[in-house]
Amino acid sequence: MITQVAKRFVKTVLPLAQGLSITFRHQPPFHEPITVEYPEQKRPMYPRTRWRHVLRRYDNGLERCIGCSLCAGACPARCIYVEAAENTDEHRFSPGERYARRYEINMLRCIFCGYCQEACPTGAIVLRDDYELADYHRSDFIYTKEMLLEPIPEPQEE
Amino acid sequence: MAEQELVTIEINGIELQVPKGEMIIESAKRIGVDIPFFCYHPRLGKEQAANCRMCLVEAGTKQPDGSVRMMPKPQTSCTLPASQGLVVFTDTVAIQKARRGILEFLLINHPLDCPICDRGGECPLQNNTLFYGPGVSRFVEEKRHLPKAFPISDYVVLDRERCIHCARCTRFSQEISGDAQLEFLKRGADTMVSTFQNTEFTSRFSGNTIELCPVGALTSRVYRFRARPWDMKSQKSICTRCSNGCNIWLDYRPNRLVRVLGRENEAVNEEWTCDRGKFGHEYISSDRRLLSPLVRRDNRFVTASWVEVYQLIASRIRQAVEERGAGAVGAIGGAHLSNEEAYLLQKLMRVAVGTNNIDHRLERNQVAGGDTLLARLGVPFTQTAIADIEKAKTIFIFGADLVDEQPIVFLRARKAWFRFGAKVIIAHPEPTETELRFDEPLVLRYRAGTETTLINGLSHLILQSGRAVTDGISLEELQASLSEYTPARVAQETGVAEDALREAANLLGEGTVILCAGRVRNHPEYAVLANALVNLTLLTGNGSRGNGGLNILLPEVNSHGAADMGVLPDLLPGYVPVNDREARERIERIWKASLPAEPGLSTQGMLEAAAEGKLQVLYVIGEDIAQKYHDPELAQRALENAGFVIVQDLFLTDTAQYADVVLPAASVAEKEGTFTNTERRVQRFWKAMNPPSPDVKPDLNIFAELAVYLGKPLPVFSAEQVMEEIGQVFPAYAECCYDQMPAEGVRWMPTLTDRGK
Amino acid sequence: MAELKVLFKDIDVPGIQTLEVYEQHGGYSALRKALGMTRQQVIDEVKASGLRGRGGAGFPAWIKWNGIPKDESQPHYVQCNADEGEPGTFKDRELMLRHPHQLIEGIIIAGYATLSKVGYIYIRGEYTEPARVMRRAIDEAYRAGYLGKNILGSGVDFDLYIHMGAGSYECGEESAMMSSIMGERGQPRLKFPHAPLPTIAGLWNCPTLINNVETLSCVPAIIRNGGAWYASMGTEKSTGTKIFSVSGHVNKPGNYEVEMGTPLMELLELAGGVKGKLKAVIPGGSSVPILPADKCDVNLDYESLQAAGTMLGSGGFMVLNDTVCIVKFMRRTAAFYAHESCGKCTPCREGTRWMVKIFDRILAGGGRMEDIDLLLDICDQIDGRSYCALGDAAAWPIRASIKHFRHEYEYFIKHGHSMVEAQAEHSVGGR
Repeated sequence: MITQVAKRFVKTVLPLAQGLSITFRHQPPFHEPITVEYPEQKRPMYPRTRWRHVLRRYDNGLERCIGCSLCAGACPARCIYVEAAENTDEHRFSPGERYARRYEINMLRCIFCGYCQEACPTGAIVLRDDYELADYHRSDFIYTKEMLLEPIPEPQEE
Repeated sequence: MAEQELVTIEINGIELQVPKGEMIIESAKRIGVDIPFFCYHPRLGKEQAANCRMCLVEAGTKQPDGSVRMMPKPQTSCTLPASQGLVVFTDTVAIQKARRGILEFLLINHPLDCPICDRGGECPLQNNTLFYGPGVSRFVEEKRHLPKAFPISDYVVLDRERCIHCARCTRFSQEISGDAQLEFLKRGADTMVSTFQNTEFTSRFSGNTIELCPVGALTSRVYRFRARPWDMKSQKSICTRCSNGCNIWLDYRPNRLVRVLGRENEAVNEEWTCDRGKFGHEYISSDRRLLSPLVRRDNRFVTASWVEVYQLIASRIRQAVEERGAGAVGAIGGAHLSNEEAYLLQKLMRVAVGTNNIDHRLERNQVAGGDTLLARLGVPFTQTAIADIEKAKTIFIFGADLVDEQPIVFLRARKAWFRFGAKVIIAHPEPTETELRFDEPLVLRYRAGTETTLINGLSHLILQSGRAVTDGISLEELQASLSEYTPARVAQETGVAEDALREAANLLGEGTVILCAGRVRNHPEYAVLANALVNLTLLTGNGSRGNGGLNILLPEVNSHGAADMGVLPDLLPGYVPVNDREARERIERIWKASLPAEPGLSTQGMLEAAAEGKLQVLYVIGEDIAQKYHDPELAQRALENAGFVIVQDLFLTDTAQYADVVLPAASVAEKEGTFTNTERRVQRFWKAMNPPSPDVKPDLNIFAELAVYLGKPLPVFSAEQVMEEIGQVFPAYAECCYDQMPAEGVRWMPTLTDRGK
Repeated sequence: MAELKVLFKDIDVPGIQTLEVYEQHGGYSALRKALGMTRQQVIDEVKASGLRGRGGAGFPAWIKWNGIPKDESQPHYVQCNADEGEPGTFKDRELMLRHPHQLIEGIIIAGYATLSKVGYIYIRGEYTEPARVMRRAIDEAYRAGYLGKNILGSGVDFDLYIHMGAGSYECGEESAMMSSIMGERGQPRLKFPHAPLPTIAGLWNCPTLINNVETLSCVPAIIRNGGAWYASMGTEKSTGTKIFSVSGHVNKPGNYEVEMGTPLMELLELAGGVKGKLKAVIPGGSSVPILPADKCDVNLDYESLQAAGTMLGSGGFMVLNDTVCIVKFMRRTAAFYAHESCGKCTPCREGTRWMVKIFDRILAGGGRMEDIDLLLDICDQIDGRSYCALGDAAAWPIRASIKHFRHEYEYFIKHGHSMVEAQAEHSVGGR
């Protein structure tokens, strides 16, 4: 009888203990925590993560984007709108003749496929690691050129 | 046309029969074989340039014993005429290699700035490279460098780095437009396209070179960087800038017209456009468009709702009719409206208001729609189809600067001379640009005002020569009436040398196309001059047969349509006189309404009445009469003194400044309908974009809704429906129903007399 | 074998440029004789002579003459090609400068035979002195009644004009020359089978006879002495004599008139022998493929040279000895064609310039071994694909030079300097 009870006990408790031991092993103080306390803490992203778009600049501060609309052509969700204009010597935004006067991405439509990045001949548009894209109004999901552009790099002091 | 001789040729082993002498590049299209090319263009030149060498094929001839003797070198298919037993191979290894070689050559000096090039995406060089080119270039040296984006006119910008020297633009300017402003400078690899010493490229057809350019060397300054091909949608439309009725594509992005391209229509513009048409549609997307109805309050315009303005207009019209009768209301406009709208406008005035005070003519002569020609030749304005001008033996340009006034008719006239050897006579009191576009035409420089004398003098000479044709006119009578116009007297009066008169008379004959424009329409004694011109036409045997004829070309996009639709004080739709009881009653039965039987006031009459304060309501539709009326002062006085002025337009024009109510109308890109061009061709245009604001309405809707407020609804739901009704009222338009209208439009045939053709 | 002088028979006579002396030596007797013959008889005489075009292609002259329509529904023209632009060729210069009336007489006879009333001599822009002599001779001929209305009372009219070129090699091409005469850009026009032959539709779309100076200069002698006499000289298919403009590394450069079929080496001896060791010969102007020394054992006629892989061309006979670096020589040739390309067609316009850039890179020491095959491939792409023969002419010499002297190219690319110059330095140093 007793042996039976013991057997039973072992049969039920041992697997439980075994299972929980795995749990405890992955808990402090035995192990570093796996979850992070988002949003206070953020997990680092893989280098090729594709989240929010960024329009890059050259080191001298000029925009890389030349307004060629190839990203809009490549976009399977048709969520990019580009309007180009001509640079003048007084108002120069990018090297060469052409720049993007308007550059808008409809983030509600974007599927983060990265085709725009692939199509870009100057490496202007890139998908980076900012994934916090929630917002309260639909209209706020139209990301304008000002929102997408990188800040002008600080002049490097030597 | 005579039956063409057919020959049997073989392309890639496929046997086919083609007309003798057809270029192989065209024959290959018949069996769906694609031969790449850059410089070839079927409309350019008596012979092709064959300088890009892209269309090379291997060719040989079948020998009597069945073997094939190949030519030692590959041949350019764009200049290789089909001949019996010709054997062609378009896709051999050698040809593939040649194509790769040519593309590699072209690309060694072509900058790869496709992303910022306006041609990128619709570029023959890109396409051919993709399909036939090498993947990589072995060229490691520095490419050639020349100034980028060099503007050569207000419309065209030249990038010489991108040029591949196909010579399409230079050939166009030398052979089609005839101004020869573009030419190559230097030679070899330094060759570059230029205007003479970099002066401005002032051709009136410069826009076509942009479309012809197979790369982005010539691009539009207007369209520059506005869109890429995949950003745009296209809609078929008709140019509104003159009465020639060119077929165009409207290319637009959401609510913004970005460019106009020529659309092929062999019967009208082939594929060309003039610069006015190509760059002159910017107004459609202008920021200054009217966006809502305006009402004048305390001498200021305030926006109002459509209901308000309709009620206001209806009450004022009703008040005027009650106080002074329907004759106190008048409407001016229609030449810029579609046929459907013009029809509905006159129906609105005649049925809902009950007046014949309606007119579309702003020029001096407001004789009813071409009555002289209608009575004697059976056509209202033009006898010759635009396409038939090129078959003319002699072209007599009388008192018109065609390049300016009728650009597409001019291109046909020039083609008739350049390609088919027609003789050209130009009569004009002053030197015109048109004269410069022909090599040594016969110029008759008469004194202004002696037009009738000149024409009668020519008729007199033809009568004397014994070549005159009796075509329903009594030669004896005419001889008697013209006997005083002896060459000596005519020469003295007009200032044209007697020899020139005789030479001109000798050139006139069967197959003569007479082209007249503004100067004849506005002649102080139009009726007399028109009679003289008709006499000349009949005497030369061009009354009703052959390709010749008399053509009085019209000013505005739908001048012809407005006349057809009866936007005239004395004629109902289909040139039915209002006082012809029987005919009127037929229309009354269709409209289920009674019509006023007395002719109304012409534009001149209405304006005079308004200036004297006799017109209570003046309705101006799409015409800036304060500026454009031939007597602007009268128009301004009329607008000031009219009781109530309604202006319906796209912009707050000078005329609108006098208005009590301004109604915002939709532009041609924002509605659908048909226009009738100067050769009577009814052509459709389609809606491309939405109006700039929901409060902007097509004229058709405005007329229909106004009729409702006037208590006489004209039930209309679409332009198509209106066209069906037009077909009932004016049977010549019966073929113009939308569902059966052919792509090239319908040139309606007058059935009024048997003379029509 | 010595020279056989037909064209140069009287060239050393003092004052032969003047009409008086020319007439004393039988001048214009051929014209008188021709005017007494029917037009067809004149053409038949040329046919019997077997005269072939001396401009380069060697097309039988009588076929062109006979191809001109025999009716006068349109004006006919004679166009004399005196645009002697081929590097290494200077025979026409001498014929015009020292024997102008012989040419004028030939043109008038050609005009008579082809029913033409107008002739043009298209003289290259650089030939101001020959043009001056020609102009003076034409004036003399007009005064003497050989030109103008009713020549020698025969009822035949003929006017002769000089049209000066403006310095374009391309205008020596017959259709480009027509463009130039008509006042258009000096670019070639479509040719048969893409367009009718010039004998049907040439200048201003009218029948036009186009012959070289040397060809037309042969005509008086042929008429005077009969076609059979002319045909007795030379070989069976290449009759008569040919002037060679010998230049380069010979002791006595100059124009030599020899019978067709003369062995190449004999011509070299005639010109005083080679200075130094013979390396190569270019027998027909810079456009024809180069002939290395070991293949120089050929006869100078159209067929033999063709068989040897080169051409008789215009007779610009360039002799190179072993001090010549072929790579540098070919760079100069390529630069000439790049400079003279008219720019009409893609292969010639872009290809010639590209080849120069490659040569420049090789000469600057930046050559790569694959450049040799690249040059050959570019030659293939130009040859036969270009609009006119200028492209072919640019490709042939380079291709032949790589075929025969590939080792020099390889040496240059490998070492960054010329093999010939290195050897010369070496031998100087060794001495």
